[in-house]
Amino acid sequence: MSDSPHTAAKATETGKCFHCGDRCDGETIFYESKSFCCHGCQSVYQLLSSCNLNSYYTYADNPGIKQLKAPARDAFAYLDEDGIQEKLLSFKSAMLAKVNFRLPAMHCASCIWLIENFHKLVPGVIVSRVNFTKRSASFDYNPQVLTLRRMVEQLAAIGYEPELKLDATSKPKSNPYTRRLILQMGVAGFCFGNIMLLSFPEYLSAQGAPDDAYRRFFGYVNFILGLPVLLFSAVDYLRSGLQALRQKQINMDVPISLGILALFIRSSYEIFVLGGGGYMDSLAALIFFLLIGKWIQQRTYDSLSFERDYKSYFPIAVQRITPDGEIPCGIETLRPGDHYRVRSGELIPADSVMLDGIGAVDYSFVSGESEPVSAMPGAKVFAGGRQMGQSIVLDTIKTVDQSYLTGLWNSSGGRRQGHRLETFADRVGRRFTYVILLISLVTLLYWLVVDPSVAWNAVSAVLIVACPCALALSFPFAFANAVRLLGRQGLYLKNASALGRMAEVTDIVFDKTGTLTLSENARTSYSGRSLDTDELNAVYSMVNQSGHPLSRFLARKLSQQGALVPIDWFQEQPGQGLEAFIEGREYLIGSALFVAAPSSKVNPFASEIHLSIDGEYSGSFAVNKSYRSGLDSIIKHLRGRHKLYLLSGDNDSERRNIEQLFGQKEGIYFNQSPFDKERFVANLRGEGAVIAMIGDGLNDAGALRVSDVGISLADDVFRFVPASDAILSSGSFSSLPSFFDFSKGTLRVVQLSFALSFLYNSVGVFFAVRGMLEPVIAAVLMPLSSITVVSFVTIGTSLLHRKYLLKN
Amino acid sequence: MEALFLLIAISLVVALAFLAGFLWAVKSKQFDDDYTPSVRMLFDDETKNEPGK
Repeated sequence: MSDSPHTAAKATETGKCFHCGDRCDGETIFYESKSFCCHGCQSVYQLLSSCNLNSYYTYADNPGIKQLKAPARDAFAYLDEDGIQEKLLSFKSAMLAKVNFRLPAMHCASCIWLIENFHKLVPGVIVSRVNFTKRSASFDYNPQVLTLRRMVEQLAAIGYEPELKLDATSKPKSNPYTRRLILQMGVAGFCFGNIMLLSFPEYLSAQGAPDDAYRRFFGYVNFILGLPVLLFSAVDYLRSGLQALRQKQINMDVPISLGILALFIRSSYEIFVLGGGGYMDSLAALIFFLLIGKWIQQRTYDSLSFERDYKSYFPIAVQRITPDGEIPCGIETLRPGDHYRVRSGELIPADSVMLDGIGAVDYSFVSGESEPVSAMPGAKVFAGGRQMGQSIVLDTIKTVDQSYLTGLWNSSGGRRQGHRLETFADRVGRRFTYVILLISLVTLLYWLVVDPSVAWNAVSAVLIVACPCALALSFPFAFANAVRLLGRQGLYLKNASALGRMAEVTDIVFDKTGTLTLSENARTSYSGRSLDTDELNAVYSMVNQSGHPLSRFLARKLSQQGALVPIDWFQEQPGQGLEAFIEGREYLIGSALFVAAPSSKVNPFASEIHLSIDGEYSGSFAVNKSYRSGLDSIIKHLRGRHKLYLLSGDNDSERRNIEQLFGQKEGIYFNQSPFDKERFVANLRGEGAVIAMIGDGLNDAGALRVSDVGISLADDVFRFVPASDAILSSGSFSSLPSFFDFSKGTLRVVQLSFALSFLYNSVGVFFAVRGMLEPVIAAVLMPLSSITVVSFVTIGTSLLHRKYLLKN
Repeated sequence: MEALFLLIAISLVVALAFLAGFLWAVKSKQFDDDYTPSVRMLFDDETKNEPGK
């Protein structure tokens, strides 16, 4: 799966920024006869060219990353703390320190080049090395010349801000498992090749047997080469098969293990007792192919993380307020009673009580509420909310790992494994095994009665030939290819079995906020007496004074048309509204009650801001959430084949819209807590439904986890998403119906390929039961069946890809 | 024809040397990242016209 999940947005307009490639709207900055969209881009260019790093712009077109907003000056101050450094650095001595960062902004060859030439930009960096598939880079630097903080600030300055979250403080674990698999594959492949060479005389022995001495010699060498295959390469299959038997279960590894053992024992017997060649070639080929299948199945998107918990969402440090002033400290050291400061745009790390400031806390990611909640001193705020207003001071009441949000993760932590949907391959594998065992038993009994001398021959041959190699290969190859093709379209699946479950989905559960609606793009509409410019300016100036979320929202919307005017007198009634005198007129803005709006003008189901001027009601601003484009056709498409549900953490102000959109009144629930969502999905599953849950926030995390296929929607797939089976890039949301169709098609291809491999197995068994299995037949039949099945599924899934995914 | 034994032994030793090379490559993490090196090798070597451009 070497395709990069990154899809670069390419601007083709002529007036595009030399650095980031964005269109230059409004002011364009010309520098060295190049155009830039903003000062941020221009200054990065200037910095790079002053360090002779202009090659950055040659390896890709407009590789730069637009600086949306510069981080606060002391945003990384916490990196000066020893305790935090110690957790981040993987090595530290007087002259050398090593650190590894995730840099999610990396996206092209130029990025790799720049990061690996970072030492030219920042003195003190000794060497830096990028692992692009993991979107990470390791840096060696001299701590006497350069501080960690300075290095991170420099990275941020050129657009590659490292992802510094709580989980970065736990040491990265390498993946020895994959390395072991590659080793096993290499050994099996090596032995397979050599055994094949040494077995040629045996294959050709029909015309005049080779010399007995050679035959024995080749046999012995084959046996020696077969040992590492059995003892190293195949050992995981044997172990898994044995484990399944111990737990009185049957899985696909049982017939595979039986086949392996039968092959090895019978070959040893033939080599040492009969002086023959044995089937070591088939054994090595079998293991080699199986391992390739396993490897392909395991290859997934290294750059994406499907197993993230709260630790990858939370920051590393907060500003703690101590008698000696504010000092940054690690968030896990926060204890109840500690006071700390949260600045604008930062996350609240632990359940706390407000002490000072005006809170406007955005919980949309945590609870699904679409509007920020205002909080006054004394109010309780919950971990995971994001402060939108000015900085606030908080008093910790629960430690980070006992807070509401973390409880959410922990409550459903271990429940996922075990009782998930058994995929089609598992079911077939189990039945297949019973059939094989039955045939072997019948063969054994038959030959014991008819001719006991053939019995052992025939039974071992049945086990060898029936070994479901092609069966075991078709599933990983088909699904790995399908996963790869889906990745190109913007759906990144965690593994092949997630696709297997996706193909059998019956019910789809949607989250609302962030999934179906876009909170940032909400529209406002004004209804009532039309306002003149002075009045509009007055309203804008008033809401601009307030920290209330709706005020801030309205202020943002009005900022394009309004201008700020001086306010003579202003007062805010928390939770009710604003009152002000401007140019001698009295303005009231706020709730229907506060403004005394006539009840005929009030829509209880919408978020409205009412306005009255000089005691006379003028009208109201309604805030309408905007839905993802093409949503109705997606819903219509999905409704034909699936049962749809909607669970929202928001209030039911949009119930009517949603009901119209879904064309149904049942199955739509509002005011759902994260626990309600999880319970709802678990109950549906209990009734036998196969659930796909589609959500985006932490409030869906529990439901994503208990569903059969949890799909999290993300604008930037490299950033934080809750743990799930699949990550859907939000740009591909409209392809959702075809993704489901494609997965169903893939399952049908696999079913056909299973039929094909049964055919091969039947032919083999036909020879085997009669005790007539020549090594040549085994040596030809097995690879042949594997190759046909693998090419069948690869071509099949590619055709499906053309049919379902490429049409738009 | 006895030379055959010797030749096979030699060929196996050669093959084993390659296997050892493979094991070394895996152990030294060369298979951990199979994308970045393919890009890295396309970067131009440093030209020595240092500062002042």
